[in-house]
Amino acid sequence: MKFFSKLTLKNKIFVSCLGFTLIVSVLIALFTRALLIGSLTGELKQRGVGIAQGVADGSRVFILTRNRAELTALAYDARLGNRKKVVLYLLITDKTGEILAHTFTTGFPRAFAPVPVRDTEQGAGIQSMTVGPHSVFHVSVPVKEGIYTIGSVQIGLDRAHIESLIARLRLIFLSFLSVVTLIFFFLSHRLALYITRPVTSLIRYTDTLTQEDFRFPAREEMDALSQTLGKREDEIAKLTGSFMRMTGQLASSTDRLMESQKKYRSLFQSGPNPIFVIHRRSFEILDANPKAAEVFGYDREELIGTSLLALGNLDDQAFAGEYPQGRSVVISSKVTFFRKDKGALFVNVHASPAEYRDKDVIIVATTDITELVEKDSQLIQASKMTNLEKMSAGIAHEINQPLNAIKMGSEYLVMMHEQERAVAPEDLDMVLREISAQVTRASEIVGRLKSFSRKAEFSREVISINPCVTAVHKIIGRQLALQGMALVLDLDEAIPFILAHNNRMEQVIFNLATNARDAINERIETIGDIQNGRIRITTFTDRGMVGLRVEDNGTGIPPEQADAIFDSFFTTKEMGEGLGLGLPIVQGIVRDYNGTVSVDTTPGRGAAFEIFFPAHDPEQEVTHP
Amino acid sequence: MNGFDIPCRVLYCSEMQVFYSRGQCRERRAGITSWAREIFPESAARGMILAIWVVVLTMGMAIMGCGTDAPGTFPGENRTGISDTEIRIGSSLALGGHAGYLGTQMLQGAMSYINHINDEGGIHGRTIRLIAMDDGYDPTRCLFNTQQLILEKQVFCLFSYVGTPTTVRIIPLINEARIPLLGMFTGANRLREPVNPLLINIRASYYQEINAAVELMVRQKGLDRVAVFYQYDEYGFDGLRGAEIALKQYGLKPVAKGTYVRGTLDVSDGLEKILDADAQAVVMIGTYDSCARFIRLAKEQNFSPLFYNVSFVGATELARRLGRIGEGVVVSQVVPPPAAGGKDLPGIREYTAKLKQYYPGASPSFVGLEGYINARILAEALDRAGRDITRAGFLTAVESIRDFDLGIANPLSFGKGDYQGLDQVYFTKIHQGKLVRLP
Repeated sequence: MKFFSKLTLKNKIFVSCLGFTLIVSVLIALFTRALLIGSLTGELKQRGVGIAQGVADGSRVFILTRNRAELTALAYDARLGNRKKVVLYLLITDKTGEILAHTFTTGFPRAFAPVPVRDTEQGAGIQSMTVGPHSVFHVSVPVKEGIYTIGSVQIGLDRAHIESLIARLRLIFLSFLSVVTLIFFFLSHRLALYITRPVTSLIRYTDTLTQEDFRFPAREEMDALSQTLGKREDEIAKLTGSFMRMTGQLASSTDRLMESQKKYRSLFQSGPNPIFVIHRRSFEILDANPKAAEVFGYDREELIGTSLLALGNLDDQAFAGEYPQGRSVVISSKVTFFRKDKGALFVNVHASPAEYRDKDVIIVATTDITELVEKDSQLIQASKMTNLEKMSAGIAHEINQPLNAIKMGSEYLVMMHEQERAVAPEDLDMVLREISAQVTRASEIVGRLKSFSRKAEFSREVISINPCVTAVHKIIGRQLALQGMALVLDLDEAIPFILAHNNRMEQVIFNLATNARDAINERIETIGDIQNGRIRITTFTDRGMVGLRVEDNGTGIPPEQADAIFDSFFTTKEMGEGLGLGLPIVQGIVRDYNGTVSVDTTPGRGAAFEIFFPAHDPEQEVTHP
Repeated sequence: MNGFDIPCRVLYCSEMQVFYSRGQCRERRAGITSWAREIFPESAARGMILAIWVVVLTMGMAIMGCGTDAPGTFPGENRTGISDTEIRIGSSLALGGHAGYLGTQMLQGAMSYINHINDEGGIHGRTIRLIAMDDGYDPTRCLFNTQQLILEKQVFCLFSYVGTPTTVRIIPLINEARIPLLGMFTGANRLREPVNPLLINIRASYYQEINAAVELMVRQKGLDRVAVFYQYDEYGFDGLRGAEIALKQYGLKPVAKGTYVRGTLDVSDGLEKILDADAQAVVMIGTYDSCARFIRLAKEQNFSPLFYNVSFVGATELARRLGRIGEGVVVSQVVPPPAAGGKDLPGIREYTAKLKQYYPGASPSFVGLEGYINARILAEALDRAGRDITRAGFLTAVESIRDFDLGIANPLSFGKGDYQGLDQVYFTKIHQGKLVRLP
């Protein structure tokens, strides 16, 4: 079987056909041989008995008259023609066993005696004997007159004859089988070739295709193939046909693929945004486009092999999310990346999973938004300055108070000096203390303003929201009080940290607080409701989120305006009063720190803005440099 | 590679030609060997193919080799019948009965010479002892006699058999016992074809006789209505075939055929048929008694075509029986007439003298002369075979006899594959009760 399985298909067909023929031939030969020998031997005996019977019938009268010449003639007649080959000898005896006639022309064999005649014998007796060099069936037939035996005819059937007959038949049969085998040899070889030649041709054609490029068919092999097939319409021809069609389809689809590949390659190569191909799990950069190298100041070779996470403040968790089928997903926005020269960049990161050279990869597209972030900061600053400008009167008043106190104290000391009056030590001590306290207070106010008005760059820091609220309170609390509004703080002391920036958070709270103040003023002015204004700022924790609520009892927001309040340049204030950028800036900052902002309002009764930020989990610091 | 490499390749060559000749097998880049390897990359498969070829070739040769079974092969170095002082020769012939004349004449002619040889001291110190047995022209008795001669009498060879049916009957025995038979008084074709070295014919065949006779009748005498009257046995059939073959050369067929049964004189039916056909000539293949009766009955009915008889009829006896009515009956002969007209031949003078010496009452005859010639050839062959004679040596001696002068102006020749001694045919006509040789 091992030998067989190693053969080619052609030789398999060939060997099986031949083997089958040989086995059948051998079986037929064995069967026929068994049949032949038995039947031929039986036939020979029957024939011998028949001859002997014939001679016996003819010889009766001559035995009675003892006419030996006639008996001899009868005996020889029995051996005429081709019977001679069967009948080796024939002899006629009388009832005493004396030989009356025989056909031993060349001499009586030695030690040969005829079978004695028995009176009781009815039919023919057959026994195997050896006469001279011959092996014979000795047939003895009695000659009867009435019921008594008067003699016998004995006949020797040559077994060599039947054996030669069998041998000849066997030879003829074997030759016939050999011829059949030979014919089958050729036929099966032809058949095997007929079946396998197109297959071989097909294989050769396929090999050539594989080695070269199957979009350019191997002409020579194809011609050979079609010639081999000729006008055949069998399964092999059909197989070849479908194979050809498949190759054609494959070629055209490969063409399309190449085209699209080229297209995408050019997109990748000349696209305006840096694109990285990174490994799905190790985040190792597998490929990067020239823009990426340009933007990040690295050579392409340097980029390949390093981790994308090393380039910027990216979190591996950012990629852990679900990727909807074939969609690009925003992983993170305003992520800080660092150029090779340590310069920082802000980018938005988009990712989509793909297969790249049999690997599971993520295609990461980054958009450089550094400029945008810069513009944001300027806008925020501008809005801040506007607010400060509006507050300048109040602030001036606030600073004036310590200045007045200092003036009073210092004038008192001057007057005392001019009058050369002695100042009581306790008075002096009190005045000086007061002056010092008032200076501290004024510089505090200035410092606060300075810090508030400082232009803040975009960054993420671990901060608590409470100090921001307190800072805002310090800036505008007194002014609000002057306008008859109460700013109530309700701070949760155990609030978790968040990832944000103090200055920007202060700006958010400041904007919301000034909006609340305006709403209260508007209520007092438009409705004439003189109920005291009250602004309440609450910080709290809700389901892992850090919450900040700013409530007022101002005019509230009409429902038809509720959807528009976060749009840029939307304002309800009179021309010149506001830019309409307050709430959009709030929303922009909150979103930068992955927060949400929402409003709950009852027109005429007030509004409540709620901001939620994800609480910062210190555990994540580990993967964050 | 294995030890079969070279023979394998040779076989593939021939095999490949078969494939190539069937066409379609297009050019192959590599040579024959690689082609063979391509088909049978495994040496085991190649060995198998080789075995198949060997089997097929062997069988083909075996089939060619079988199937030859020649009759009467050359005898071996058999010395049966040879003693220090004599050579036993056996003969079965008609010494009595309706053909008794033929055998008697034959035996007398032969014995005339054999006695002469024995009187002169025999051959190589051995006398010839001829054991003659009477078969009465009966094939059955001839067969029995022959078996007796071979088995009981242990003769060296058989000699001077008379008659076609008798001689033909013993051919199987001759072939089986491989014993030579020299000099048969019959011209039957069965004894000449197929050629059998054991059957040595001295006289010309019936075919030769009848062919010459038909030529005489058709060409010289212009007779084209030829009938055949024949004895219904091997002898008659043989003559009939000879006549038909001879007539066919002239585009003729026998106009009528009449038969009679051997040993009977019942010829009237045959005569009637021939009479009805109004034949101009009758070829008669029979014995003297039946033929004589046929001619007599014909003449009684005033029917007298040209009667022609073959030599076996026994011309002398026929002429004697017909007497005056026999005028004009033609008999072909294979020896010259021994009586009047042949006295100028030394062989005939010798025969006449010897016959007179040993059988004073007898008169020379054609049959007797044949017997005499048979004896001369027998003696010559025995002499040539030498003292250490065997049956094979005897036959070789016979084959060596070439252009042997019997003194009858008709030289005798045998040869390898040629066991027909004399070929000449003579014509005699009964004229005034005597046989006259036709010119």
